[in-house]
Amino acid sequence: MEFFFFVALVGLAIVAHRQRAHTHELTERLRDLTVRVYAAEQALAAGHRVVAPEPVPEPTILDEPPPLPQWVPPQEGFAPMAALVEAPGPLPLPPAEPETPRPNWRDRFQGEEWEALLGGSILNKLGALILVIGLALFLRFSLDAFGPAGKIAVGVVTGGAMILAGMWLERQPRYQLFSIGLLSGGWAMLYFTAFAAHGIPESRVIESAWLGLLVLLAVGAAMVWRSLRYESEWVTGLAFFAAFAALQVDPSSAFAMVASAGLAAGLLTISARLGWRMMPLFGILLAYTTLAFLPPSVGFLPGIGHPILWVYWLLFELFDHWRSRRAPLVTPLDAVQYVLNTLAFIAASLLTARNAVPEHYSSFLGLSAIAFAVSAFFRRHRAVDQLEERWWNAAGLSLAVASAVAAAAILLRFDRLSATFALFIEGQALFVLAWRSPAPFSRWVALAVSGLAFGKLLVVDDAANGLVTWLGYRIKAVSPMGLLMAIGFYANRALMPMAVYSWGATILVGLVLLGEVPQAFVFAAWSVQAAVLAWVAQRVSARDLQYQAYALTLPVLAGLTYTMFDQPGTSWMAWAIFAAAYGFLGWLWRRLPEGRERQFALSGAWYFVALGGATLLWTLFPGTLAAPAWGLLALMMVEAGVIVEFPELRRAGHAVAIAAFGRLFMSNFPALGYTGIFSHRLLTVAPFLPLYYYLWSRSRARFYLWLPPLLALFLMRMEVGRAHSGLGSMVAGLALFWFGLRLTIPDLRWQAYLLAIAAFLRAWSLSFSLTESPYRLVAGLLVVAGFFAGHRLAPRDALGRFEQWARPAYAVLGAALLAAVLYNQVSGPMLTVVWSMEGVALLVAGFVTAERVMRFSGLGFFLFCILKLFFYDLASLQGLPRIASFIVLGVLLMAASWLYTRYREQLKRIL
Amino acid sequence: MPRLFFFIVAALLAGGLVATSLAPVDRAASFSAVLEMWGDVMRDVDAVPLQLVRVQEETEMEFGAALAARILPENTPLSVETRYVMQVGNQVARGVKRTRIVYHFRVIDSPEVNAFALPGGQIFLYRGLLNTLRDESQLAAILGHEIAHVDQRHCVERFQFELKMKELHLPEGVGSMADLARRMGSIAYAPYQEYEADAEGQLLAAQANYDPAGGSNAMAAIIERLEPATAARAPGSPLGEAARATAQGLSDFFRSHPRTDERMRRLRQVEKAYIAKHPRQTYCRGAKNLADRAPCHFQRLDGEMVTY
Repeated sequence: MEFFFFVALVGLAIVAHRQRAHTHELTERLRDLTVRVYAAEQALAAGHRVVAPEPVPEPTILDEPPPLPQWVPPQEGFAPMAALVEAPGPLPLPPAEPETPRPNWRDRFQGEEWEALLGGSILNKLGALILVIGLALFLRFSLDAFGPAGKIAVGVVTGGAMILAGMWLERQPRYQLFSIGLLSGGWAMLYFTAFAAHGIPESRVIESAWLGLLVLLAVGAAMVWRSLRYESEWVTGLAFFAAFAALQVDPSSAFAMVASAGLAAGLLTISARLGWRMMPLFGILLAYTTLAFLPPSVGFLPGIGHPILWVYWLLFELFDHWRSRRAPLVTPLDAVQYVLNTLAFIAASLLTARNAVPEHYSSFLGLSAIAFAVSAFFRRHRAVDQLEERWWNAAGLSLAVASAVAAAAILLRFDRLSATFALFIEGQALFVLAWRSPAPFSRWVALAVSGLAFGKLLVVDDAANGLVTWLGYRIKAVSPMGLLMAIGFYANRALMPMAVYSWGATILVGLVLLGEVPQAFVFAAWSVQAAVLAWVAQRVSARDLQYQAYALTLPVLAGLTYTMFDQPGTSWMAWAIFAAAYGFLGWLWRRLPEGRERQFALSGAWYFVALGGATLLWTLFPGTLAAPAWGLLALMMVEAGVIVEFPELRRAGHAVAIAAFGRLFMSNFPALGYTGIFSHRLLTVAPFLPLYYYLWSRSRARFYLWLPPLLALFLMRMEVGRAHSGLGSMVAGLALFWFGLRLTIPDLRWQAYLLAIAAFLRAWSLSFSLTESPYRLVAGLLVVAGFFAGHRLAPRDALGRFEQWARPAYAVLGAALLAAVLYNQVSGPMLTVVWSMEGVALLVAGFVTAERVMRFSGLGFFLFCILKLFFYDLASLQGLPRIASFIVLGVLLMAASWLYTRYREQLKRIL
Repeated sequence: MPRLFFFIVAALLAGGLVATSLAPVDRAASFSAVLEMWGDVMRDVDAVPLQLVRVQEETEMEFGAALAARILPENTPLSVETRYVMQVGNQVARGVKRTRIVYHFRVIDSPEVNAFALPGGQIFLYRGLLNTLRDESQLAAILGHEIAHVDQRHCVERFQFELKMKELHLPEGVGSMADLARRMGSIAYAPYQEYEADAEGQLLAAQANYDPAGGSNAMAAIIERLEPATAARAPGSPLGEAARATAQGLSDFFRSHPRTDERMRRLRQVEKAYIAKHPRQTYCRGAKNLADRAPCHFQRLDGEMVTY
């Protein structure tokens, strides 16, 4: 299987390299011609006669050559002799060619050349390659008559002949492209033969694993040496791929491990010498993948890890440090190497430690975190020297990775509150580092770890830890930890202006009060908390604390209402505390500037009136009736506020409208009643759709535009069920899209995109094969059609920076969903054929409608079919079905390539 | 134009209010719709990896048989109750979609009031539940519920990652971790799988000619036995109602099974819809059949049939 994949990649890499060289050569020639034409034009314009030379007479053999005519500079009054060819005067230099800006990635993909190259040339090569493989498989099918030596001989002779033919044809420009196919196929054949000599029992002629490994490494080394000739990163990379793959013969042997380290070092050396940036990344993938699938416990030292993986990590890490000393980090690619090295190291180590106990994992991760932190320390100094503040700053990323690994070690080593405590300490330590460090990235790392501790305390520990006795009182086990965390977060907020810490601390204190204070006193306790926050906020001018004091008013009011109506007999002490706290708050708010206080008071009064009115309506119209009653109240209040120009009344009306929205989810969507054939849900929810559009028209508040689609989505789901709501979402989305285009309202279009995504996910998850509803498949296909309709509806001109992707996204999602339909309806060997036919259909549609994204989708399908062929069909299919898959796909690829060649002119015009 | 729009909206709201008040109004308040939508989202997200690791029915049945053998050894002699339950269950299972699954029914001799299903068609019923039910239609609905879990792949999905990793000879730890991650997500939609199983189970029982009210009556019998009614105070304010609904919603989020009263409410809807679609049909209730351990389709007794 690796052989065929390798063949394809070798060919692709060499072709890409050759095409690039060819394009460069053409560009040079064009430049030269431009200069010459310009010179000729200039000469004509200046009136110089350019006389065609007389035909050169046949040379006669003379004893002495005739004297050459000499040019005599013109003298005054003397007419010069006419020359055979008038020498042009000194030509003015052509204007300096405007420097062609180096095309960025977007321009490269816009040009006709890229697509025509892919479709016309690469597809052709791939198709020919796959066809050849199919024929080769067919041959192999019939090679059973040969013994092992015969099979090896066939492989060596075929591979050698292809290489020799390729080398000979390479010298002739006409056949260069063709020679690429022969060379790549020949090397691949030789490599595969070397592997088969030991690795395949039917063709084994080398019994010793060591000798087999040596032979394979020798072929791999030869490929690397030969590849350097092309000075192509991709080609040499593939050669190294072959060399690493050779180690799979016996990856657990000591020789293989040492050889792998040597290969990695060699790869890095070549990269350093030739200044290649992608090769080290590729090397990381190769090196770790080679050892990742070792049998369990081979070489893994408990608590430390696999020594050779540590060697890899050090090699790549030292290379990264060395390289960044020589040149600053200029691209995200450079930072990715460190991260990739670290992640690959962790993943490979965990995979090689399959039978380890949890303590070994935690010790290993802890040791790794220390190593990463040390490396981050060295990066930090370099980053400061190089004044880097980009988000992919290697120092910041390395610190983030070290912190994440340390957090994982903590979670594995400790349990329950001990783990939370350890995470909290880690977060605080990182915070201190961030406080002392000029780099901003580290404070986000500290926040992330603190957030993890916070989340674990709230979500996991609260439910799992029960009660404890502390100073003679029975309290929840999480409360002391919550208080400690709150104190730490407030301290962090005092040291650095990060409001999120104070918010987290306030939430923790509020939850501790909720858990420990008797229920009747909770609202009073929160009142005191709000008063303290407001006082501190005014003392230290901290707006976040002030907002928290305001925010606490809501739960206080909720607790007050709940206690007042639902828990009769509330203690007078609780009321007294509440009154004292809000009296103090009122005294603090009176010290605010005049305008704000007045506005606050008026708004508060009208909100109170609205709350009273809503409560009255709730008692008169219970259950599902309350929401439409509130909707009417909101409508009246907003309209009255508009007519009499009273903004506070309008705002209160909007508050009632929002409350009605919330009530719909609580009371109307779960309702099961019917009046006739209409559900109560439909009767009471549907009028809110035009209501919120009306309120939008009155207030132009954008959030009103988002409420009706949300209601419609829920309504569809509850009315028609899960199976058909995907289709409903698609239809609603198309309608919103159309309106959004007609009325030029971006919110409607974005709602359409979200509904399209929802429809896609729903259709995908229903998988079309289950028959909960007989119409499910039809509904799914209609969703597919909806996506292509959306694609046609979307304008070609960009609607905005992100909306320009809407048109291609609709087409891609439609194609993907269609592929899912085919996947569920067709199985086995026919699936590759059917999918490649979908690819052809998309290509044809792309040509007919001049839609590039459709053509790319078709090419994407071909690529996927190729991958499926090599990674799945090859393993799962046998005999003639496998051969048929290769041959049919190869023919289809070549047919697609013919399409590109045949319609090349049309393609140029389109683009 | 805005004034006309205003009146249209007001008329629609008032019209909806009036039309709804013409029929009995639902007063229950809960965030079950929100939880159901969230469950849908999590199911959609889960469906992608689950489709990739789908196992064949033969593998599922082998696995289920191995699990069942740990609960009741295969050579356990079949009791009268077990034979009876098998006969009823096989009748109900005739309407399933995954016809390659072969169903096996066992009664566990324990006073616990419960039933459960394992992958591959292994259905277990406790004697305590059998004694709680009042007629054969209720038994058919319960068996239909468990069969529906198997038919809709709810059971096998809990083990798919592990099974697939085993099939690919990959470390079991990887599959267990993936299953654990999936289970955390499935908290959101596990109760809705129960509703789906209730609905399909009821339909299977009705298609096997059992009383469509069997499911809701079974829930009522279980409630009476296990959950004596406690009168809850009606909330005194909209905020109180919202607070109670929120607290209940949070509690419901972490339940693997929805509340029995809600299940009964939904089953009544299924029953009504089925009867409306199939008028003037006669169904078996089978109280005496249950007592005599003689299935309806073998022994039709007078007074045990009902027509809607």
